[in-house]
Amino acid sequence: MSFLDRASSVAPPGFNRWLVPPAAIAAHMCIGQVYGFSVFKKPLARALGISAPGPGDWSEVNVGVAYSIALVLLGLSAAFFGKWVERSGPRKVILASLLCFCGGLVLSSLAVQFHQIWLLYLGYGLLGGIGLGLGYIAPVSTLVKWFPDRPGMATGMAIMGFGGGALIGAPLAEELMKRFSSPTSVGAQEAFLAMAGLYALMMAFAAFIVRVPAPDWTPPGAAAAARAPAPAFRVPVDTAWKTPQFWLLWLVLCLNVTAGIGILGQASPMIQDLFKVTPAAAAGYVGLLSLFNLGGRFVWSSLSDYTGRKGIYALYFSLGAALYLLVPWTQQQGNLTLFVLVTGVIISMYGGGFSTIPAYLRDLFGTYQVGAIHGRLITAWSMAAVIGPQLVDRISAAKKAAGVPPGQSYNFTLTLMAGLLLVGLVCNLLVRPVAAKYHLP
Amino acid sequence: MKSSRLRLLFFWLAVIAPLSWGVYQSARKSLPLFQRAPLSAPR
Repeated sequence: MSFLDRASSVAPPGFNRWLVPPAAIAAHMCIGQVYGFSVFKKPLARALGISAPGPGDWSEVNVGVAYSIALVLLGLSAAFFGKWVERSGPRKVILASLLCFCGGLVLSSLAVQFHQIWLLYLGYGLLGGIGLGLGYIAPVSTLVKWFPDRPGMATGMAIMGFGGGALIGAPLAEELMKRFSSPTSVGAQEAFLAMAGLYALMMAFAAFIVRVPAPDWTPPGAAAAARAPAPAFRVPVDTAWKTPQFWLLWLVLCLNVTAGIGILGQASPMIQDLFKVTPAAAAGYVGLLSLFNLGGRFVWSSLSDYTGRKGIYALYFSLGAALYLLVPWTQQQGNLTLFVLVTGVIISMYGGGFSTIPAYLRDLFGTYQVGAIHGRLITAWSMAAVIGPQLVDRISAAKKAAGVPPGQSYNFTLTLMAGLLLVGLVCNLLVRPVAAKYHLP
Repeated sequence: MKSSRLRLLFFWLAVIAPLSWGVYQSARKSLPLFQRAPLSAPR
């Protein structure tokens, strides 16, 4: 039995379960860096020219492809390796994620050094993306098992870490590139390498401290155990994804993410067009939305332990749709504060949708292979993350090209997003408990 | 492994410290939004 085996990470009697969330948060905080990848776009697009793009430099669009590959691979690897994740335990999986994600960063550094874009796609996109998928599901499924009495709060903590990763990743990369930049380098090569080292340390820390509960473990305190006992039934992943409930939740996640991207993907140009604020203030608005996103992941998901998962998603979708329709009105009123507040709440529910979904899966399918089921569901996120921004960008561009004033060119998109949320509401309302015939004996 | 309070504190600090730095950076970045009024009245 090696240190990496699942059996080695089973917690002994008397273990304090509050030691486990830091492991989950640490792992998610590292892989959440992917959301901050955009800060590399401009520097990488002038890696040869240094002060400005020169002959042979990559375009920003080409650099952005690495991000899209990473998100697609996140979904695919989570789906393909889900069963292995459940079998192997979180320690081995977090270490595998470390090797892939940090190895991807090292390859990205080499890609900059030798100026080979395919190496960036292979490193950050392919290898890094696999690391993202592995590192995403293992901590979530571990925490769900540790907090059967508060599954929403548990998944909220882990996935809040992913949101936090974006808040850390972007300024960290900027700081590092500033420090390493010179007349002959934009500093990206060194920044990738330094980040690989820092993230490897953090993920190794997560792998070292993570524990899984013993099979007969129950939460401390009779009240906690009685509050919400873990479902006694078990639905294996290969059965789960054949149920209508799985595909309804797939649509729920896909529509929630697409609708969120409706704001996130165009936040900066939107506030500049609608309220004529400066680019610096617009960047501040994007930063503020990130905070709403972070907070929403924890707050809404924790709240779902009291409202029930179906209830909280009904709130996300109905209130979200209403708020989307309210956005043009805030512009007509010229009320910037209200605009920020309305869009902030929308984004907080977008984050909440991410973090509540594993708890919803646990309610429907039990904890048996919830990580693997979550892995397959994450393909919905990958699809929405790639198609959503394209959809929004094309609609906005078409409206502007048709001569619609910039201030009004967003109205159609916002109405469309409200419509998507209402479709999500219907999907959520159709979710029923999984039939007993799907349960394992 | 018996869990000591010190270990609990250390583990949580190890994640809260970088997270707080990220939140601070984001909050600092958002300041310009509150520091000035819109350049002109919206249409």
